[in-house]
Amino acid sequence: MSRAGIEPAMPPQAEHPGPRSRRRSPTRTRIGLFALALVIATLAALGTGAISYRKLAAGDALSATVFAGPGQSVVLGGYSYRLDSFGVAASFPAEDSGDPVVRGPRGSVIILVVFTQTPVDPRVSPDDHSCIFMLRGPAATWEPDTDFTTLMRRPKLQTCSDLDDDPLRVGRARQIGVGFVVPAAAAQQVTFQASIDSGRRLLELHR
Amino acid sequence: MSAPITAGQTRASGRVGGWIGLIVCVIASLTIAALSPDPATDVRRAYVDVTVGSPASTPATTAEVTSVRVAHAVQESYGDAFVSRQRLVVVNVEVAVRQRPRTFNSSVTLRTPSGDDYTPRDEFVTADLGETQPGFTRASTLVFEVPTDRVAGDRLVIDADSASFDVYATALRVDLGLSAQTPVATKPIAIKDSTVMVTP
Repeated sequence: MSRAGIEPAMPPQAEHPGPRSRRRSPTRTRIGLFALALVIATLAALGTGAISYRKLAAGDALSATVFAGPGQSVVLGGYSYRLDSFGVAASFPAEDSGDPVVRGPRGSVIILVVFTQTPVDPRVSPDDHSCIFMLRGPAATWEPDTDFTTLMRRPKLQTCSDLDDDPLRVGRARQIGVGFVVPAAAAQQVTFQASIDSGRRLLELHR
Repeated sequence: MSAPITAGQTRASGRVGGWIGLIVCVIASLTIAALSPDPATDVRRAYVDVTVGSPASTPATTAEVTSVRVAHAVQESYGDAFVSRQRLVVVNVEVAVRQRPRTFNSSVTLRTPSGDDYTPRDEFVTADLGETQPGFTRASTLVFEVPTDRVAGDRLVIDADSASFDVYATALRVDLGLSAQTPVATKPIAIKDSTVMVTP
């Protein structure tokens, strides 16, 4: 009889713990899964909240962005845009030569952005074409002025939409002038933006 | 001695526990939904409370009520005086705007202690807050018409920007210091158009 034959058989789990002994209890597993679900849900809520808040804080959610400087032309969504001038001054001449110059409040400047819009793609319908103009700085956003610049000399057209008396037609250029009034201290760092077609495109015009 | 629990009994117990957990969660969700206020009707606000002469700020706005008067009549620079059989609460306020343009039309009210809100009289649109651009301060005059017995304890509320989240936003609330003994002006109070200046 061999020596091995008389040794008592050891329980296999004592020296070599098998899978059953390493398995966590069902209760601990449930708590762990619950905690994991809680963490994922919290992260998802924080993530979506942060994204929503950033969109809200930044204004419109924009997809395509095109930039242009003075004299440059760019094509965006079937339209060509050329920045003609980016005027910044404390005062501008009035439309009627007999009227006094146009000024904003003391300490402010007027910014007049003049650009030319030309439809270049015959497949694009002008019917729903629209723009929202704004001036963006590092810490603030301005909308076109409706108080101080109404009597200023500038292009009559202040919208990029199709008009009966100034229609959008392929190859026909239209000049648009948009006026803003901003504190003088903020004027050096601003950029003109046009959010086009309900925010699907963004045109940025730089000084 | 009890019989040993079999694997089948353990699985069955687990399934029952899962269903109970699911039902408890559904009941909890329904209870929370039923008890929670409707954000469309019960708008939550955190208020910054100040008194006349003290500025109140949120990240986007700073407002200061500079004076408050009570009168029977007010007078613009043109036309006839506006006369009321009730009380006219005339509030001079300066509001500085930051970040983005603000239109205050529907967000400025006079709130009585009982919670009723009065909007400014719209005859004086050129004097009210209107739209103000960032970096500018608008000084304006608001005219509220309220019943005589609702003047005492009134507060001016400048609500959060309409572009803010509709709940849990911050509003400004100014105690106007009005009481039943507040004198009523005997002559019409002059109302001037609002003015805009660059915020110092």
